[in-house]
Amino acid sequence: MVNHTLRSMNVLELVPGVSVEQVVRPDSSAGVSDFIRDAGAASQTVIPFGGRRSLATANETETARWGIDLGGLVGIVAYEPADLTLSVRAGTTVAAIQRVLGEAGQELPIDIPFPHQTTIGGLVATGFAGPRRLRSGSLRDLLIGCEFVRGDGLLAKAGGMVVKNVSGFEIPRFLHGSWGGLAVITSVNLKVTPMPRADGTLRAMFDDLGSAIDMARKLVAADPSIEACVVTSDPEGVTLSARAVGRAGAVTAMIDSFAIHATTSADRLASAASRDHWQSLVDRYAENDSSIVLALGTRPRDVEALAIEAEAILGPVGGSMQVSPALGSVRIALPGNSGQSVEAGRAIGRLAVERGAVYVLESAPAALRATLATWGEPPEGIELMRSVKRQFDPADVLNRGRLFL
Amino acid sequence: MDRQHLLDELERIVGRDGVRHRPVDLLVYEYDGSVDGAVDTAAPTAVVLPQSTEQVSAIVKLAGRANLPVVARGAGTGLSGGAVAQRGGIIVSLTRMDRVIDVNLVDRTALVEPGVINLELSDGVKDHGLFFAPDPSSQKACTIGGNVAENSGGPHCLKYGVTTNHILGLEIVLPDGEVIWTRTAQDGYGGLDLTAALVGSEGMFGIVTKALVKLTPSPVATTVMLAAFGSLEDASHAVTSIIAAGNLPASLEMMDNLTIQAVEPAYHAGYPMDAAAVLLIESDGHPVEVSESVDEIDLLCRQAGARSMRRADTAGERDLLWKGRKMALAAMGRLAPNYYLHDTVVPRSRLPETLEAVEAISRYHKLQIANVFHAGDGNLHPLMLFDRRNPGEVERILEASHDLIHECVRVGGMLSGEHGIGTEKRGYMTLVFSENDLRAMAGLKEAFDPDQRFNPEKVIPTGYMCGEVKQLHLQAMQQEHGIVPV
Repeated sequence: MVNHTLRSMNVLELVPGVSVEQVVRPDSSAGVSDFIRDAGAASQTVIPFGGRRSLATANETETARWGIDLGGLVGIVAYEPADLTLSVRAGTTVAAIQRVLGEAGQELPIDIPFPHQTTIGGLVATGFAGPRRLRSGSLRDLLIGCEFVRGDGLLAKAGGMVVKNVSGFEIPRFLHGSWGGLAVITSVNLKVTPMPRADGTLRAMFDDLGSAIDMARKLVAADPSIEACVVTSDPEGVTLSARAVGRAGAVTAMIDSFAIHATTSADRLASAASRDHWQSLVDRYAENDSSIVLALGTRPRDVEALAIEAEAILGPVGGSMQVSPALGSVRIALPGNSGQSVEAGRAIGRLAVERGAVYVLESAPAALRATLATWGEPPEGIELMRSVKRQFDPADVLNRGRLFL
Repeated sequence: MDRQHLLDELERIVGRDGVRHRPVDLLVYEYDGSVDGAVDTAAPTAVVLPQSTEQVSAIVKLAGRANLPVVARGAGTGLSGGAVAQRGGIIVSLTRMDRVIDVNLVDRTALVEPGVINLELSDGVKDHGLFFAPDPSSQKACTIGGNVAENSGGPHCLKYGVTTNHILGLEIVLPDGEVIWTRTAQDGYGGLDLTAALVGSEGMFGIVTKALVKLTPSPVATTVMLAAFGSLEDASHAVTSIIAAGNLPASLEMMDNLTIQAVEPAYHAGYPMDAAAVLLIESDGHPVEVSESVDEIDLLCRQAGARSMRRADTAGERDLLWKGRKMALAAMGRLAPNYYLHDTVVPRSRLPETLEAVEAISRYHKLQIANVFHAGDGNLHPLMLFDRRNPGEVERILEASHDLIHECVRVGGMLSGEHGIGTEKRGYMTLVFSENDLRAMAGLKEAFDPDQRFNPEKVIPTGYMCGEVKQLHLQAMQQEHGIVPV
């Protein structure tokens, strides 16, 4: 076996509850491939990670394992502003990418938690999408190619550096949201977009969740250009946030038209204040060490009923909720790890299943994981998914036991 | 299982009216929309026209027992040989499964069967202020199932994305006959995005029997502009500067003079006959956004050398400008009896030099090449005009195609933007993909279809599939008078 180990210690705690015995930090895709092949030969399991933001979203396992830190694969591979395309190594943080794009007046139109820690490879792997998915789509819609190392060590690429391409099978989008169970992503190619010239938000307070969701529906129906629209319910009350981006005149006109629908007190946020507001909105509902976070998904038509039932459960324990009515998305954050919070988390997970929704337990103490499956009910087609896993990772090297596969 | 037994079994599943097997009935299924000569034709053993998911599943199970390939087919408008039964077997034509089962205005989704025609879906939801965004040129005839298989695009995918961006889930029949629903990435979904793998898999992974598609709200304001240029180079520089300045039009199409010569006399769209190239630029969205962006694009086009600019704000004016573009392929019959349409895609900034290369290829091979394409995406559609009755012309077209594809790949381009690989471009895959890349794609195919039951001999060149030896054996058997053993 080749010695790839750059940093080795007895036990390294990557995040609370996830430890590995050995970590390597390759500086090339070939290094990733060599390491994974060796792990397979040594019957070891490997946990790939970037910014460590989503490592806690996993089943607990006791398997001895190695960690592969993608933080050594950083930097822009190719960026041509006139083409609006970017190729970047997987360990590069989203904030670093946005900085480079910003210098050319461009951006990735995504809103994600903790962009200074979150890596682009990690983001593709976890498939996270924030409220801007409403109009700008998710990273899945921006992904035009990638390089990856399968669980058997095969280093390959798919897609290209053109914005429209059907040459060969769609492996990049397939890896989006595969949680590092099939392959380790080593670089990604993305479409980028012009940075909007203006950014504005209308924030309106409501007495109850149903009225706020009702207004959100009206806003989305009235203006197809609306960038994002979410309703939050927390101990401070119920708030609707509606965002417009684009040319200054259009943003002002859109915010004005949102305000016409607002029957309650509302305020307006512009430019940096608008951007900061949305950043804090996504950060608050991201996985962290001290709270329970659940992501729920359902059909938009069913989201109101689901959210109202969930609110009744989380209210008494001081929890909070973010609903994107048009996306059918509900994110729940429960404070601390008290017995009451654990009970509320369990009740919400069960509610989701009973109502035909899906859920993932993104962050939770062991007491909750012991009684509520991390990945929700097994998805339809799980046997086919396992067949794909066997093709990509025949020795089950990557994230063994941690995922839904 | 002998042929008669097979036909009897098929009739038992779909009824007598749902099975085609006489040579004269099969003839049309030997082709798709591809150029004869660039793509081999092949006859299936039978064509079946199921009307339900259960029937499709039963057909697939029967094909498994008979050890026959299965090829799914929509309207047959594909341009890369994807719907041709290369190894014979059963063609499953999904045109009778053409119901729009449900439209939900809150979810902005439609649940449709695969045989629904693309444009009919959009027309059906127009009164609700919605449309199905992918709009390939064949949208009057092509089906949603075919769009899913090819990951179809169209002029408006510059802003709205291609088919994969509009599919939320699929009901599919797997190669063993099992029926599953796939999902796509969504908050709270702990599973693989099988939908992502299926869209664009050219019928090689599963047969789509229902699709849950996203419907897009119609824009509040739309303006179409026609910019006429004195040279192709000026027009392609205008494309680059429009995009680089931060504009994202709904569509940005280019037509060269040869195309204008074919289109204008036929449809009177108002394209200047003496222009070397025209750009058709559509902006949509919020009225203020559209108005400001149209002014900016107007200025950028003039700075790039536009000789004239025309705006269409009413639906009637817009439709007329679009008519010329949408009917361009049909109008080519005025110039030559046949054309061969390419679909390479290049980085947008390489358009000027690529168009020059196309011109050089045209001169070298003494072929007329018309350009009508999705300039905003860098997706070329060079139309090589010819007359197949002239000896050697098809060969000359294929040689020119070889040069064109190599040139596009040289500047960082890819083989196909929206038409698919099929059999037509399968031989070129090694130009852009390594052995490892192709092995990874073959691995995905084998996870879905270990026996190579669905649409064999497409996309992946020979030699990368584990099951190929088995398939060669099957092929040898089939050659024995259409009789295949169980």
